[in-house]
Amino acid sequence: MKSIYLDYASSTPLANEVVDEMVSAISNNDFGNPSSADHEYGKNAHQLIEDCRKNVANLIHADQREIIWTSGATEANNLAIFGSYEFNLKNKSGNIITSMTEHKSVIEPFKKLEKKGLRVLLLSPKRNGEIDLNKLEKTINEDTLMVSLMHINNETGVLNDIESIGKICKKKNVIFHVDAAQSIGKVSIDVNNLKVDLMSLASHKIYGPKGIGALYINGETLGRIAPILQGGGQERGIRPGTLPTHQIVGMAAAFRLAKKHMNNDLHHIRKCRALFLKSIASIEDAIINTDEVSTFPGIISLCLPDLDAESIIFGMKKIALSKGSACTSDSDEPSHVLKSMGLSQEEIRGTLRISFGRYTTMNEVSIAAESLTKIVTHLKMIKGR
Amino acid sequence: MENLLRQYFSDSKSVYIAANHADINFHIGVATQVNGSFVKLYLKLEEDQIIEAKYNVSGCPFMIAITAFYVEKIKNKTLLEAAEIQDFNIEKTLELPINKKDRLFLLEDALKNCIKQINRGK
Repeated sequence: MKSIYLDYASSTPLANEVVDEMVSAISNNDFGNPSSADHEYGKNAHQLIEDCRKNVANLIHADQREIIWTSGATEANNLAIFGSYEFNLKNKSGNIITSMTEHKSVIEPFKKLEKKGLRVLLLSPKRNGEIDLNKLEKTINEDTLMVSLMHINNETGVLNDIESIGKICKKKNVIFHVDAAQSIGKVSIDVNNLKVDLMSLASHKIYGPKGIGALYINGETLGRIAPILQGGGQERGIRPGTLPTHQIVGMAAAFRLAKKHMNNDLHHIRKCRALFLKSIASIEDAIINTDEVSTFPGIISLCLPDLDAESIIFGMKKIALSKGSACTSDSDEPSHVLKSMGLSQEEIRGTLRISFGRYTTMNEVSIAAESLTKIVTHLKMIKGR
Repeated sequence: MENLLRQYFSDSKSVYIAANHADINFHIGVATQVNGSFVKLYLKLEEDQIIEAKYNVSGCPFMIAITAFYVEKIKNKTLLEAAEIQDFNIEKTLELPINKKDRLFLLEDALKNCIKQINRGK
């Protein structure tokens, strides 16, 4: 029997339609280098990629020229941060604002920039994980050059009010970057309303392939990003490297499907969440680390204080779920996200991330909830309570 | 290995349950870690021989499994024999990863604390 997959925040299976379109792109005569403008093979691949760019732009109501392909959201975050620095910020002194709950692919580049002389101001979130808008507004000062905040947190599901943050940044004339790796295709995004300058997009969190992503660069900001890789002039020189046609085809198909299924997906995962929480109601001391209102329903950050999440996961043998971010799961360090929300070491140790998706069935949710209840009872007995 | 680890992780026959074992005169040794993991050993002795051993434990799967394994193995051993933790081949039998080896120290500390308690009572 295959494990029940409840780790959609980590990655998602490829949608069948995505597989079909990728296979078709590999099998057909689209293998040419999209930069080879002198022959039919190159031109076909180029046209395919431009059609895909339209699809990706369409999901966020952007212009296709505002989409730059990358290898994924990590590269998009790096490009947004280092690219802005190289083009705009290098010769300036000032500060950059981000939060302690950001993904490592945002925090680590900022740490590097700190060594180059920029001040990095790390906002601590509210207890529910949300960015405090008043605190942000007070922190931005005349020396602030850039703000980078995520849309949906990958560990907790906390949904930041990007629209309001965008307005604050616009008012203060500060570059605003959003890591939307976890939100793209799951909640509605219209860049025209969001006042976002740069937005990182992932593919594999919404049933597309790994190894491909994009950076949205607002038309007004366009050209104000310097490349971080050196090579040919692809992607208008912003991101050199031969484009992987089949990956791009997969990402575009996933984005097109996301647009079509978004409302149904959201409705479905709300039902999954409700059933799961109802089914584990007998676990007395289970706590959800975030508020229902400001949390994307597909992710539950569930704390079982005084128990060890690693043991819970180990005990739920045929259920695939995680302690937190997949990107930090090799580390024994407690989650920096939960730590910044003020959780104690014991609470962090007892926190699990359960995430639902398009293909989760209600039966799977019930089995997982039953399995969790059972292992919690077992671990409490071993613990002597 | 996974099966053996899982077997000891799931094994509850030597778990101390207050409602069942409160009237047994156990010597107790506890060791805790800052993150909240702990091992609590309950040993009943006749002379220097362990005639009954129980435990409570909270921690990662390895912590739980090595505790269950160790408690099983020290029954009918002397305290001196039980103190030679390396003789029980726990690391090899349960294929303890390098980054989990500190769990053995916690077990060792719990036993040392139990022996201290025994010696205090003598």
